[in-house]
Amino acid sequence: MDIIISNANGKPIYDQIATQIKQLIMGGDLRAGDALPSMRLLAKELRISVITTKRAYEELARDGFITNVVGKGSFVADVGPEILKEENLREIEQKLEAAVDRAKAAKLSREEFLEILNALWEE
Amino acid sequence: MKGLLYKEAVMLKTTMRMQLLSLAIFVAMGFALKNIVYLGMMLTVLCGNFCLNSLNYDVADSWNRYASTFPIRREQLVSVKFVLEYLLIAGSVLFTLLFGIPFSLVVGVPYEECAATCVACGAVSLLAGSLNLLLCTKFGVEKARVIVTLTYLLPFGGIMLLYYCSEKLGIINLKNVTEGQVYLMVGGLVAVIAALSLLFWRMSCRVLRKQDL
Amino acid sequence: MENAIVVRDVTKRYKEFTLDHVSFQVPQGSIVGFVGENGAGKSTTIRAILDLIRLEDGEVEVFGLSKKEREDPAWKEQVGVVFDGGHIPQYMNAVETGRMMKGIYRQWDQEAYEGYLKRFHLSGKKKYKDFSRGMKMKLSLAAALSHHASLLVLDECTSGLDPIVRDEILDIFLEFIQEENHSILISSHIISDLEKVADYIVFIHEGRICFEEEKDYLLENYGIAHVAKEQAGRLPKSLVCGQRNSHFGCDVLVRDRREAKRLEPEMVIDPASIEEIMLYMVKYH
Repeated sequence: MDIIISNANGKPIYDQIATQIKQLIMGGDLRAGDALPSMRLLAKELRISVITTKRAYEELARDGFITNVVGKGSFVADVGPEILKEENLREIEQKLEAAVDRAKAAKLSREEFLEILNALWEE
Repeated sequence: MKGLLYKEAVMLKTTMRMQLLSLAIFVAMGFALKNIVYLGMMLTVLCGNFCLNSLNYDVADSWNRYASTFPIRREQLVSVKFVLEYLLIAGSVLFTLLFGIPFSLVVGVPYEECAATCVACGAVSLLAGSLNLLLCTKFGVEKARVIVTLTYLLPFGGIMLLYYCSEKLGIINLKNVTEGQVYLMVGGLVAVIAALSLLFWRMSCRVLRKQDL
Repeated sequence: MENAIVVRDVTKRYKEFTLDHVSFQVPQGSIVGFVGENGAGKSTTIRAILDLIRLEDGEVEVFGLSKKEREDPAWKEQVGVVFDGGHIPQYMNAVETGRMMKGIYRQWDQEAYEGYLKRFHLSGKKKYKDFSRGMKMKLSLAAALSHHASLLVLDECTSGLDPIVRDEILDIFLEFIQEENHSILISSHIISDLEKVADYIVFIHEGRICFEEEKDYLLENYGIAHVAKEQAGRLPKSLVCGQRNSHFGCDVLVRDRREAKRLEPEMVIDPASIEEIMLYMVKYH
């Protein structure tokens, strides 16, 4: 399992880790039941704080991608299609929010924005 | 305590060679000048010096601060020095007592005189050494250095006082004293010195307990 | 046990310096980086934690034990300490040091000690006074790690070491912390080391704690804004922690760089390193 993090990325490190693990799960590289490295081991190998890996794992658990079992470790959950859909929706919402903010800052009207959206959908 | 004593033993081993050389010189002096006191005093001073040297190294290494983080009571840091002192002095007195046998035969001095000299040296060492440990614990080796040299003169001062009382003030009559009384006095003196030493030990523990390290 | 160490309102007065109501915690399982410039009070605080000095006010708890409960020195079996300079007797070598420690610590692990000596390339027969600074420190660390301690207290133990040695040592800290009940308190003025491994940063300045914060929080939120002077004036006081003026503008340390960017979208803001945070709070306040 390869996890690549960047300090210059701008995204918080726990977010980068969580996102990459989600992608590994969604892409099938990690399957339901697979054991994830312990939070402490991951922290040590990536040379980051345990608090960061803990937060990443907590987010993954909250979003239903993994389960954290006290005393045993963390395991990939049975990720059903609803969770995948929810994850995709979340990412889409995030990206759209950024676009909306930009549009508002550029003083675009709602109609002009929807026009762009429709044109892109047609492509 | 075991580990701390081992540390002192390592230091002893390190300085052993110099001490043995000095020992040889003073043995030779003793034979040449027909008096065992040189050997006795030399061993006495060696014992006292060793403990102070050990303290000196400790101060230079900031040892007390580090050793206080070990799972030992702080008092043990100074107790080990006293235990060491007692062991060294006892060893020295024993050595000189045994050495006195061939010495008195070769040189022709009565053994009782040699033995008395050895015990006296041991007593002086015990008193001065214990007081020095207390002074150095309280004031640090640097500041106490001057006083430390003077403590060896204490017994000398005590004898002068005794002489003064006897000759000039006539309080004590030393001329007509019996052998029994002599032994009593000497025994009493040794007991007093031993008690003082234990008192200094206790005081040193208290000083160290209250110190900021 | 939640916290390995709790420091509460610790106060100690010296002639020219006062430790003033210092409070912070070392949560169990974490690495706490204790930072501050030289003379800020780091060593004094650590000596207070280890009961080396008497306090005028405040209290310290270690492993949940109060000062009275700590009178029995058994708790120190669990604590490994390394001071700057080492403090091992100069006439001893590594082998003798091991034998001495064996007679002091009940749970002395000779095998582990020899393992560390090998790992650190420390000769057994060389006298301590002949060791280089780095080797002295590594020997002290080897001793501290070889008696099954669950708490490491390290006072300025990486100063004077080259980056390669420091990296080795940081690896060892990360290994040590793999156990959930192991904790480390490490004081240093070399911030870059702590930036890598610390979970929390406690910053002390002139005897007072300036902040106690998750390292990630600091790195994710603080920023240095490079702005013109009038722009700097427009930023709310609550956001600004320090400002450095130059002929061509100024650099401002802000508490929340995203908030600052939101207020002034045209502003150039970079993430701040722990070192910069410390510098701005101390020097450009």
